Amino acid sequence: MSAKTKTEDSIKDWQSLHQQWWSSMLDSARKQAASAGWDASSFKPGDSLKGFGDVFGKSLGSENEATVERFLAGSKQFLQWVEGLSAQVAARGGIPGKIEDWTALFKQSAGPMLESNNPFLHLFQGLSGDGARGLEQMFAGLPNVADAFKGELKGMLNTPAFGFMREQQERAQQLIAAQLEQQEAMNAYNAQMLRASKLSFEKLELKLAEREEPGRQLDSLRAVYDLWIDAAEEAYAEIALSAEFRAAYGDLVNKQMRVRQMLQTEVERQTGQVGMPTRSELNSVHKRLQEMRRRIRELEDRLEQATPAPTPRAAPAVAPTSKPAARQKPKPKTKVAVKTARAAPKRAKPAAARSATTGKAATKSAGTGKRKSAGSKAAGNRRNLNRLA
Amino acid sequence: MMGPIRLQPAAVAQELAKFGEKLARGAGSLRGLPEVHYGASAKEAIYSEDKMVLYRFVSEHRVTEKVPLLIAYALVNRPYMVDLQEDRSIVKSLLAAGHDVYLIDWGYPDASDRYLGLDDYINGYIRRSVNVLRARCNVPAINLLGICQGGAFSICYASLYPETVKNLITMVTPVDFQTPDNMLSHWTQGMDVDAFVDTLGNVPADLMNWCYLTLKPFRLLQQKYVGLTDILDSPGELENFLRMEKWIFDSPDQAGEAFRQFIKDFYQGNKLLKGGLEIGGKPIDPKRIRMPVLNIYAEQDHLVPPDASRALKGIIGSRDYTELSFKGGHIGIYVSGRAQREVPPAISAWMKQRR
Repeated sequence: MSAKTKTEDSIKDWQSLHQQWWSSMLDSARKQAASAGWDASSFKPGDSLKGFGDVFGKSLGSENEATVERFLAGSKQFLQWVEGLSAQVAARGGIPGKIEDWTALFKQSAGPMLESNNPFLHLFQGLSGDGARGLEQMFAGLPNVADAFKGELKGMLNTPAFGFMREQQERAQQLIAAQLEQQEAMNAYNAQMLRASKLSFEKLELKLAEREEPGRQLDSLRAVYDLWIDAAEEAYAEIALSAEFRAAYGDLVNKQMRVRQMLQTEVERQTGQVGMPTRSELNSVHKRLQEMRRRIRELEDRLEQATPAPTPRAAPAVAPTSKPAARQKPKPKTKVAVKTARAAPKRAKPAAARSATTGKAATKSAGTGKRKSAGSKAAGNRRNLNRLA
Repeated sequence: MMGPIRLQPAAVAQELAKFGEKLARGAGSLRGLPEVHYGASAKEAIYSEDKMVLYRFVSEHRVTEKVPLLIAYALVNRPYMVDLQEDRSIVKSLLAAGHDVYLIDWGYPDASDRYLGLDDYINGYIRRSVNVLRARCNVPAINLLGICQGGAFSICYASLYPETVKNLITMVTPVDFQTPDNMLSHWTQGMDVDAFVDTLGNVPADLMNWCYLTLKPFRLLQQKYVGLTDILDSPGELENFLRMEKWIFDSPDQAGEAFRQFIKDFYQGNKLLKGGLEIGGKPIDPKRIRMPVLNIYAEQDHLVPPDASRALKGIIGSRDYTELSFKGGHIGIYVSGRAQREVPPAISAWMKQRR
């Protein structure tokens, strides 16, 4: 077979492979969908990834669902990567030989390196879900009135406010200005991510060079993918540890907090006017509650230190366990208590040893199985500690 | 010179077809799996306060060690990682070695806990838990095992109340919070933590998780799940994977004030290393730690780099200091097969030598 025929066959193989792969995925998805009792008629060529999402996402326990969601998102991104690479190989007319060609192919499959088309950002945006949300996602539901104030309209923010609604207008202007600053901070952050993306191709080129040595060639898509991940992680780590990234990250977080705080203040203002309890009021209550908890414990500590040790009584009881009682071998509480009373430690006890008494001790009385009141529980615990004093 | 990539169309077609098959079969595996559970050892609650619960693990073996071991875990993530499942449990191994093991479970703070500070955690919960154990076990001092952030708390506690700690064990514990490879610390340096906490109150768990995942985004958000296809048809491995996922994303919100103090004093101020740290108005002087210390760190730890942990040696007053280096990462040190073989036996032997 001539070299030309081989190349033509190779191109043909890749083009057909590209088509076969998605057809095979589609078939598998259809079969799984049918077995799950789901209407597979809406599957269309090119929808295979969506199809998998639907199939996997149904009939699962609630806790597993979040994992499945993340699994699908990760797999989908991998498949998109494969699709992009495969399409580029097919379009190019064969498998590249040189490193530069491979790097160019990876770049082309990733698309133009713009802030709006950045693999790093795609990764971050595509994978938030239950259990993990970045600040950007946390802000997704909040109104962004700054969208309307770009370009020349920005100048309106400096217009002096006057009249009956003056203060309200000033607050609105400040909020919009803060949102614009937040967007600028986001752009600066995205620019750092773009740096990471670009650097990842440089890293990849170096890694590919290492793989030119005989015996180290990559012969599977997964191996190529793993190498790409290594390059991406290395590049990201380098950028993420840079002073520029640190500044951009901090600025973004701080600007987002400012916007959020202003929105919260505005919401409080509105809800407060109609008699709704506000976040600030709750904070005040919670703060006082915590101060009271501390005060009570401090007083209990002092009480402990001032109270003479009573005669030995039953040791504190224990709460029900997390496993069947048959498996548990609780300590003989009464024996321990007696032993404790007899064999006091040789060392003098620090005050701390006499003051661990405040909590809800046990919920069940040892030996009797009777429930104690909260007061007697605490007292029992206190007595037990006092014996050591 | 040969090219770096030698993909053959037929081989790639086969590889992709297999991947598709695995995905398809995996649908059945995932659908058939029940929700995963955790916890290998029975435990009983012996003390509680607010949302904190002090547990005692119930041993099926004879307890031969008089001095109890208290485990203080981090506030981020849940402490059941130390007793995840039958074949992945530090606790189980320690129980089998005759130790009496206790664990502080901090619970899930809610809005009413926003003003819980480090003083409440260290001078409050830990101190009272230790005292409960001292009373219960009739010993003047206990063994304290602090893990990750819980290790930093344990160092503070042992500095404040050294007479109540017989032996101190720290595991993947940061001491120098500003080593050059500490990405998490790097990111916090430009943050206005006051504005952050004043705005958010408690720090949402989802945000914390996101932050951890973005330390290694491609591995943790994508590659890990692509790798999942390799075990989709293995129910046992899949169950282990799901259990780990459950743990990773089962995170409590962080009490706002404690978070503020931890970021300011530990990450931004690096005061545990440099000095000047105060908890509840009490100065922390690690030189007061003169009891034996075992410091365990993981060589591939991306959250707490080895140098961040090894710094402990230079700040304490103990002459009996031991380091244990583990070949693995921050999570592997609890659950990997190697960890099960190496870590609990080392902890147990070290404690038994210092009864």
